[in-house]
Amino acid sequence: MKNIVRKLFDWQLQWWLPSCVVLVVVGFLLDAFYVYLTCVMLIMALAATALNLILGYGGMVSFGHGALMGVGGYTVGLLLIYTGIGTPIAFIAAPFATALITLVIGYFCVRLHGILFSMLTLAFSMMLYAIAHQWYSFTGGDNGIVGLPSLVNSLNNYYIFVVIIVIACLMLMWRLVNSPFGWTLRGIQQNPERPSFIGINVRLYRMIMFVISGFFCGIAGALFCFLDGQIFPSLMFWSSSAEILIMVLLGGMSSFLGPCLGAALVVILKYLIGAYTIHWMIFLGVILFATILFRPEGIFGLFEKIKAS
Amino acid sequence: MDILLEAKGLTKAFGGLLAVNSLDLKVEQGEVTSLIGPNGAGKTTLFNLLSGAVSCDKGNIIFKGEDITNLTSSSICQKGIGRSFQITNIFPKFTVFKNLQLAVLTRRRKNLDFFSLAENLPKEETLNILSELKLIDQANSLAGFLSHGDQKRLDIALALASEPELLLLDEPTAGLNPQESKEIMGLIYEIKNSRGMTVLFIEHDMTVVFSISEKIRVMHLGRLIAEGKPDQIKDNNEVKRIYLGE
Repeated sequence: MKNIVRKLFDWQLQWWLPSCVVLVVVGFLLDAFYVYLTCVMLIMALAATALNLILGYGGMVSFGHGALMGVGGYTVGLLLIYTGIGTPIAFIAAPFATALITLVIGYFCVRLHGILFSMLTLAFSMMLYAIAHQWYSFTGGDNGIVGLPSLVNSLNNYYIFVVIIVIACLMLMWRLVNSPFGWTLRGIQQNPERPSFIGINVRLYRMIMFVISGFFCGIAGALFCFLDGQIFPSLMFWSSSAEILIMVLLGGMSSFLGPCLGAALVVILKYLIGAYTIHWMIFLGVILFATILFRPEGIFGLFEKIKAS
Repeated sequence: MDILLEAKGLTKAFGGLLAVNSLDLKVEQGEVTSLIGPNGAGKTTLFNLLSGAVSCDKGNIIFKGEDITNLTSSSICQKGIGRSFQITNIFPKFTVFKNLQLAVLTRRRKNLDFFSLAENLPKEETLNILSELKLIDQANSLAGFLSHGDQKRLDIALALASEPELLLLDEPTAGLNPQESKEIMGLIYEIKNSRGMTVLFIEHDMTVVFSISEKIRVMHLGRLIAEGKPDQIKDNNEVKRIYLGE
């Protein structure tokens, strides 16, 4: 019994479970629009945390995570319109398909470091975008894929589903970055040269983390696709990858929960200020500017500093 | 004695510069030897070739009877060649303890463990290495904030954590004061005795070289020009001419 309790604490369930409950309860109190908004926040939080696996913990700046989300979304969309399989199977297939694509991209990218790595991910993301955007007979081009069946029967139920999936993924990722594998990656991030001389195959571990990151991004993409019942190529455009990157930078890539905070902030700005003015990006720009200048460790880093003092 | 490592006709050129020029080298099991030579003699390049940091143009490297020429540095390390660096090469944002923990985890091939909590893993073994290298008081400091001498020691500790049979030390005392260099060389000798390891080190400090080495090798312009006991090297005319400046 004692052992089981310890195991649960090892997984930090004392934090994850209450957050799950709070989020679900909050969902019942909010209007439909805000439920929808919270859904988007949670999904983007998942994508941003997935990016942070390789960015904050692996030192790889990817400009392709929007496209990877898109791969997840399009997997769902294409499976549903071309095959007769059910929505749950399409949902499960999405992360695996995304991981497969990430494997191909990663095979080339992890050989490179720094700006070259970023540019190559950007190149791959533009190729994926081009496929989604221009192959009309297969992907529907810029008309996207619309009118997909939903996974559960109402927005509220879907919200609960999203909360559970996102929290479960966050829990897994938290465990991952604190595992020997996660430490190996952090070592590589700090010093890409030394690990080989203590016996670490740097390329292999970068590759594995890249694929895992793609896997979780695929889940986020699938969740996003089912939220609206539609998927458009705009999700795969580079600006959407940049948005995820901004979320991570804003929240703080040195902390695990930073990207979640960043995601929430960007989504709020986009939808709330975006409702009043199309120039919401100006506000985002000012905040990002101030963060990078005064708090390069991100907003969450500020919290941690206050806590430490 | 058994030959632990043998290099035959090792050659490496950087552009037109022959850094290592068809060099032959035999390292016997259990010996502590130093490699000396003027700047630019190719000592570090030789280490880089042996540890797989750069690939060689020509020649073979045989370690424990196995051809390890041009293997990746990580697999060479797994086969039992560890090295330290001239410019300290550590994980600056990890604590000293975590630095070593990572190396120990790696030797135990635990890197692909995705779901254990790493902080609880090989504590004891990590602590042993830390106390062996007298770093135990600094265990919880961030490696990047250590003094230069302690960073040097940590660099060597990282190499030791993978339990190499052959330890390559690239200027272990560079930038240290005489007291610190004495301590480090004392440590290396202790470790060699307790673990029965073979040590090959590059060194510029002649007092260190002559006090600790069982054998000295002299490199010049990419070749080994002399090899022998410290006394023999002291009396070697060619060495005097090119290196000791007499």
